[in-house]
Amino acid sequence: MKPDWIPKTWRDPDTGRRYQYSHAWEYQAQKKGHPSFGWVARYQNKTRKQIIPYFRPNGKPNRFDPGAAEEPRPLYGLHTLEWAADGILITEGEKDASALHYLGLCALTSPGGGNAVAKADWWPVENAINQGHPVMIWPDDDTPGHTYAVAVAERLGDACSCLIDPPAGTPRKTGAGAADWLQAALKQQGLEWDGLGPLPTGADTEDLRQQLLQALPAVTGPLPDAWRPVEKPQTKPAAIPQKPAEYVVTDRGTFQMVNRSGGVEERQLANFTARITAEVSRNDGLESSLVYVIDGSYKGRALPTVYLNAEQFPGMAWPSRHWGSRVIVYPGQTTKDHLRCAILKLSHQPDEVPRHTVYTHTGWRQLDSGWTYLTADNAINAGGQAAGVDVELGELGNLYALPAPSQTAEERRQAALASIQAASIAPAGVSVPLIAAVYLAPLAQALKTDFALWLVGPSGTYKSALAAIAAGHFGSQFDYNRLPINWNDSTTAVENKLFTLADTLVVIDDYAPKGSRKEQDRLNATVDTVVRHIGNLSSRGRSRPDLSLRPERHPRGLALCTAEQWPSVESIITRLFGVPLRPEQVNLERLSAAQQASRAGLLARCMADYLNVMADAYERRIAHHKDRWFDYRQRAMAAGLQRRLPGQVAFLMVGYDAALHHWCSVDALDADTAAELQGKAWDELIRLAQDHHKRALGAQPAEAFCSTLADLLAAGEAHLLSKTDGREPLHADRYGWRNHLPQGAHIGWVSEAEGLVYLLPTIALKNVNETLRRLDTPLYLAPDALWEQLQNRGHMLPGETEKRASDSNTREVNRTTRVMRINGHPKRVVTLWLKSIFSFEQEN
Amino acid sequence: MSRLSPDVLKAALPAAAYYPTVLPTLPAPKRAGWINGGLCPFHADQHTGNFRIHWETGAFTCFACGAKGGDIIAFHQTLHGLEFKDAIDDLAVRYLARRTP
Repeated sequence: MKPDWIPKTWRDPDTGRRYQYSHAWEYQAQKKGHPSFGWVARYQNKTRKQIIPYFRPNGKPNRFDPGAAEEPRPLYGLHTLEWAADGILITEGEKDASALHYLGLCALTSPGGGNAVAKADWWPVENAINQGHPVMIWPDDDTPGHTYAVAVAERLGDACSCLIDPPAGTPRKTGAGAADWLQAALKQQGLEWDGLGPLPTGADTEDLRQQLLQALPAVTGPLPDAWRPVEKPQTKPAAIPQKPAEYVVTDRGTFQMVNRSGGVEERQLANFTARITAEVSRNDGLESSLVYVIDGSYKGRALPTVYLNAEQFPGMAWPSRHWGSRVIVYPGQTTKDHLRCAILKLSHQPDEVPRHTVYTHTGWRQLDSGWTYLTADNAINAGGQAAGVDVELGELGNLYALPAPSQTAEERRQAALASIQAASIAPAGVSVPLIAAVYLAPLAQALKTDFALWLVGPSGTYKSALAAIAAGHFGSQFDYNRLPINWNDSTTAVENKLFTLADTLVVIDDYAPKGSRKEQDRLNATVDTVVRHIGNLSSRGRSRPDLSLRPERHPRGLALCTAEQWPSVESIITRLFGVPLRPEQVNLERLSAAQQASRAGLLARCMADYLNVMADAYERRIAHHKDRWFDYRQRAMAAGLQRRLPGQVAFLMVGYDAALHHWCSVDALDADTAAELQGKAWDELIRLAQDHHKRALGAQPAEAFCSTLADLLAAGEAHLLSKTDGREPLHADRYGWRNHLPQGAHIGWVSEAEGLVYLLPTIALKNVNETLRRLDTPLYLAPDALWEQLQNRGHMLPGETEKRASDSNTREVNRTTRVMRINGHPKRVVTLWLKSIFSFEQEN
Repeated sequence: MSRLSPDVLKAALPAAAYYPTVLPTLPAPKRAGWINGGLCPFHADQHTGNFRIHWETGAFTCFACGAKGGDIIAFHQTLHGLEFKDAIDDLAVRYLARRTP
C-alpha cells in the first residue's frame, strides 16, 4: 500500500526522464510498535527503473523526504527476524526479500545495492549468527548479484553460506532472484503475480514455503571463488598509533605538528600530499637504479603518478616540475627538509613501501627460479612462463615480445614447421646463415659471439623482408618496415639498443650511403664504431659524474645488418660475415607464407619452445655448444680459412646445429634430412667464408695499393722509366707508355731483369690516393703504415738501415726507403716486387 | 593554547588511536567501517550492540539513547561538554603534545 505522501511520479534530475510509481517497501523496526526507519519506493518507465529511498524525517510522524538513511543504515526486513528459526535469507533488493516475506520466511536486504553493503548496520544479522541461526545469501543470478554476495559474505564472514545456483524452478533469465522463483512457482499453480504486490488469492503459501525450503540445501554452499571479481585486499582495521604523529596529511596538504609551550600548532609544509607507493629497482644486467613511484593529491584530487630516480628525490624540485605551478612548497628554511622527511616517513606507514625489480633487457638471467630468458612483458624458464618477473623494454618491447611456449606436442611441431619453412625462402647461401643466426642469437652472451651478419644486395632484393622473418622468431610484430634499428640512428642509440637486446637477433637496417659527403661520413663513422664494438665486444669507456668508470655496455645481441654495399675498410669487413643477396633469389610465395606465420606468432612460439628447452640444464647445453664451436673452428681452419673466419663459420654452424636439433626433437624433421642439411650448410658456409676472405683481401690497403698502381700504369695515368737507362722500358705499354710516349706522371723505374719496381714514394702514393679518393675508397692509412704493411705482406723490400748520431750516442734506424743510383743519380725510392703489382698479368 | 585545524587534528589523531582510550568496553575491532563500540558512554548502557562507532571516520551513534556525531571532535565535545574549539584544544593537549620523558 503506497503511503499518500510518496509522489506518484519521479523525475530524474540528471536526465529529466519521468518514472511512474510502482511499489514501496517499509523499513520496519525489529520490534513491533516502534516507528519505521523509512521507505524505499520503486519507480519505472518502459525500460528503466529507479529505486528512491525516503529516509529523511520531515518532522511529521512516519513521513519522510527523499534521501538515504544515515549511516549505519538499517536493513530491510528486520521485522521478520522473529521467523529466523528457519534461517535468514539475505537477498539483493527489497523486491526479493518482500517475496520471501509472503511465504513467512525471514529475509533481509541492505539498502543501496552491492556498493553500499559496508554502509549498512549488520549487527542484527551478526547477533542472529551468534544465536546459531543459519544465514544464506540468495543473490540475483548475474554479475552484480554475485558482487553483492561477495560483499555481504566478506562482511559477515565464514558463518554464512550462499545459494550457488538458483533453486529448482527458477526461470532461466539473467538476474533471476527470489521473486522470479516465486512468480514461476505460482504460475505452476495457475496463478499470475506481478512480483511486487500481495500474492494472488488462492496461493498455497505453505506448500510454496516447504517447496523452497526443500530446494535450498541442494544449491547451498560456500561462496564460489569465481564470483570474486578481483583480488581485493582484505580490509583491515587501522592500526593504533603508538605515539603522536609528527607529520600529517589532509586534503589541504602536508602538515608538520609543532610543539609549542602550552599546546600544539600545525605548520603547513605544502599544499599537496605525496606518497611513495613503490620502489622499483631497474636492472639492466650491469647496474641497478632505484626509481620511486610517487602518487600525490591536490585538493583531494589525484595528481599524475611521478617516476623519479632516487637521486632526484631529495632536491624537492620535482613537485613543480611534474605537477606544475599549482603545487606549492611553502617558504621556510627547513620546509623542504621537513617535507622530504614527511613524505618518506608517511610513505612507510603503516606498511613498508613495496620494492620490486624490473629488468630492462632481454636475454638470459639466472633468477631464483633458475635460468630465465627475459623478453618484453614475459619471461621463459624451464617450467614455461616464469611468474612474477617484470621486464620493461620501452619501445623495443613492442617488437621483442615472445609468447608462452606451446602447450602440446602438436603445437610445438607446427611452430617448428613454420620455422623450417621460413628457412627455405631463399637459396642455402642466404637462408643457412640467417636461420643459423636466429638460433645462435640466444647463445650470444654465453658464447661471446664477436661478429655481425652483413646481408648485402641491391635495393628491391627483399633484404629487409628476409631480416624481418629472421627477427620474427623473437616477436610477431616485426615487418620489413618495422625493425628495431636503422643505420641512420645515432651511434649512441644503436649501441644502447645492442646492449639492451641481449641474446637476441638485432636487425640493423638499411646501410646505403647517400646524400652529402658529410652524411656519408657520419653513416660510415657509425658503422665503423658499431661493428668495431661488436667485433671487439667492447664499448666506449664512460665515466660517472664522480669520474669513476662505468661498466662497459658492450653489444650483447647478434646483429643482422642489411646493406646495399660493403664497407670499404678492411678491419670492418673482417668483423662481418658477408651474405650476398642477388635479385630474384627470394621465393615470393614462400616469403608471403613466412610473413603470415610470423604475424600469427608461430615463429616466435617456436623460439619460445626452443628457449623453454634450453632453460633446462642451460649450463650443460652451453658447455656442449662451446665444445662444438672449438671442433667446428678446427675444421674450418683445416679447410683453409684464416683470421676471424673460422670462428665465424663455427658460430654459425653451432646455431644451425641448434636449429636442426630443435626441429628434430619436436618431430618436425627426421634425422636423415637433418644430417643432409647439416652437410650442405657446412659447404655453403665455407664457400661464403672463402668469398668473404677475397672481399676482405680486396679492401686490404697494401693489396689495394698494388692493384690500383697496376691500373694506373695500365690506363696510362702514370708511367715508369727503365732503371737501366732512364728511357722507355721493355714491354713499355705495361708501364704507362703509348706509341713510345710516356703517359701521365712519372712515378718511378722498373727493372724486369731484377723483377723490381722502384717508386718515388710521395709521388706514387699521391697518384694512388687521388684515384682511390675519386672512387670513395680512400686507404685510411698513414704512408709509413702502408709501407710497413707492404713489407709485411712480402710486396716490398725492406729499406736500408741508417746510422744516426744523436747528442749522446749513435743509433741505427730502419727506413722503409733506400737510396738507389739510377741513371747516375741517387734517388730515394721504395722497392716493390714486380710480381706483386702485376700478379694478374703474370698469372695469365 | 593550540592552533590546529579540525582536519589536521583528525589526521593526527585517528579514531583508531582515540577511541580505545575513552571506551573501556570497546571490543578489539575485526574489520574496518562500522563496528560495535561496546557500552554507550552517554547513557547507563548495560547491553553491548546499541553503540556503534566508525573505525575510520570516528563517527558514532547509539540506537538506544540517540547520541550521534560525525567524528571524534563531536564525540569529545559530547563526552566532556566542551565547545568545538575547546574540544580541539583539549584533544591536542591530551593526545598530541609530546611530553619530555
